[in-house]
Amino acid sequence: MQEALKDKTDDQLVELSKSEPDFFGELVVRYEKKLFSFVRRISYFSQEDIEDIVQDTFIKVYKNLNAFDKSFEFSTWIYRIARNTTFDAIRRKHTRPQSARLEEDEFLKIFRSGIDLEKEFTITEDIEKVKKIIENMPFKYKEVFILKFIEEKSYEEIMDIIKKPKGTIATLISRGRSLIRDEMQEQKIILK
Amino acid sequence: MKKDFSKLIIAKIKKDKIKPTKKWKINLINNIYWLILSVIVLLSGAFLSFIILDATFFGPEVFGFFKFRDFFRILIRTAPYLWIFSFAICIVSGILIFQKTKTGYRYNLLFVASIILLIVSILGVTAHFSRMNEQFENEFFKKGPNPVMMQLNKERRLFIPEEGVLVGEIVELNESEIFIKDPMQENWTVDYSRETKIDQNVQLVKHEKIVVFGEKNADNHFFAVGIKRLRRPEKGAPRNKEEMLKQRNDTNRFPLKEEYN
Repeated sequence: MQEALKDKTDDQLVELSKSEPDFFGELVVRYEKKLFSFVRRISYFSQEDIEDIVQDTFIKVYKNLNAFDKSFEFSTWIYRIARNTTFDAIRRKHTRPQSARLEEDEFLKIFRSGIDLEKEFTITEDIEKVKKIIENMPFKYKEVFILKFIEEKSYEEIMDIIKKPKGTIATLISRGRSLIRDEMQEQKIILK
Repeated sequence: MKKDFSKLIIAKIKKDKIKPTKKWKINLINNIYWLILSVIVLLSGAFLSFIILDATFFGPEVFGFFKFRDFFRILIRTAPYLWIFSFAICIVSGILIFQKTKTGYRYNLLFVASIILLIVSILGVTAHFSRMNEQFENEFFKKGPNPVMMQLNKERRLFIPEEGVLVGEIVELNESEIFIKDPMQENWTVDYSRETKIDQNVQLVKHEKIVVFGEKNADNHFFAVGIKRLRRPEKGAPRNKEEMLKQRNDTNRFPLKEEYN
């Protein structure tokens, strides 16, 4: 059965899951890792907390299967629910998502996209500075950078995930880029 | 990540007997947003038509009675602020509710505001030209919660003698003076002459409510440059004395006010 399910599209699995929860398992398998990484990137929670958030996300998705609109990508819809569930958890803990936990290569990926540099470069002694620049970025910029350059979502998908018009997404990316460039100059980071 | 995370989720769904929410319940929420939005747009249109009704009371002919600056000062003093405030609240709520609809967030705020304003403007202008606003106001003044007070409030708004606008009911008149009672029940003497521009709808007869434009020249004494009827004649009513006489002869439906006195 598992093999047969692998050929099904997300939309087909959604339809099947409405009557039989076992089909929903395949959707969980497809998205659990992606969502776990996404929640980790936009929050600062522990591994256990993130697992709880991802579990809540899947339960919410299941409860709202009938609300899924096929004009959206399923992945976009599930990311939106994951984002909202993460924010609910942050609100419950009365804190703000100040420092997202990113891996070193993710910091560099955002930094490279921020300065819009195509060629490869290495940062050795300045890596801590780069991390600080990304960490200190306001959350609204960091979030769209994570979605655009790490999760590799399109502008339309980001628009549907964070529920903001396309123009606002473009503005956030452009402002985030100038913020990185300004900080880079201020901190005299040299690219080799 | 825990092993068999998917099995854990499915087990929880089965154990807690979680079922997907019914489609009609989900659609109901979205339809409620659209319903509220439609009501808000209709209300905004109605408020706009009341604003137009009050703003157009001072027509272009009144513009000639005052200097440019004074005219705008009068407009600001007599503006229907309750309607303007209600209109603004409705427009802002409409925009916010639109953004709460399924894909409302996709549209730029300025675009949404422009579309809502355009629809509301069409509704407001249509209501004004079909005189629905006037009919509604008349009904409201007759059957509203406190019709006398409502009418009085509207008259008080237009009562600014120091700015050159006086409103009241004719209690007596002769060839050169009109004696009127203002909304505060005070008596005024209004001097008028051949040069005074009297609107064709005005009947200078007892009990007629009029608006006088001109200048306050002493306590409770006013010099009239122009005179206008407080309310526009109702739909189908004669627009001047000739029409009134004609209709009276034709149908006997519109007796002259003099006949009551």
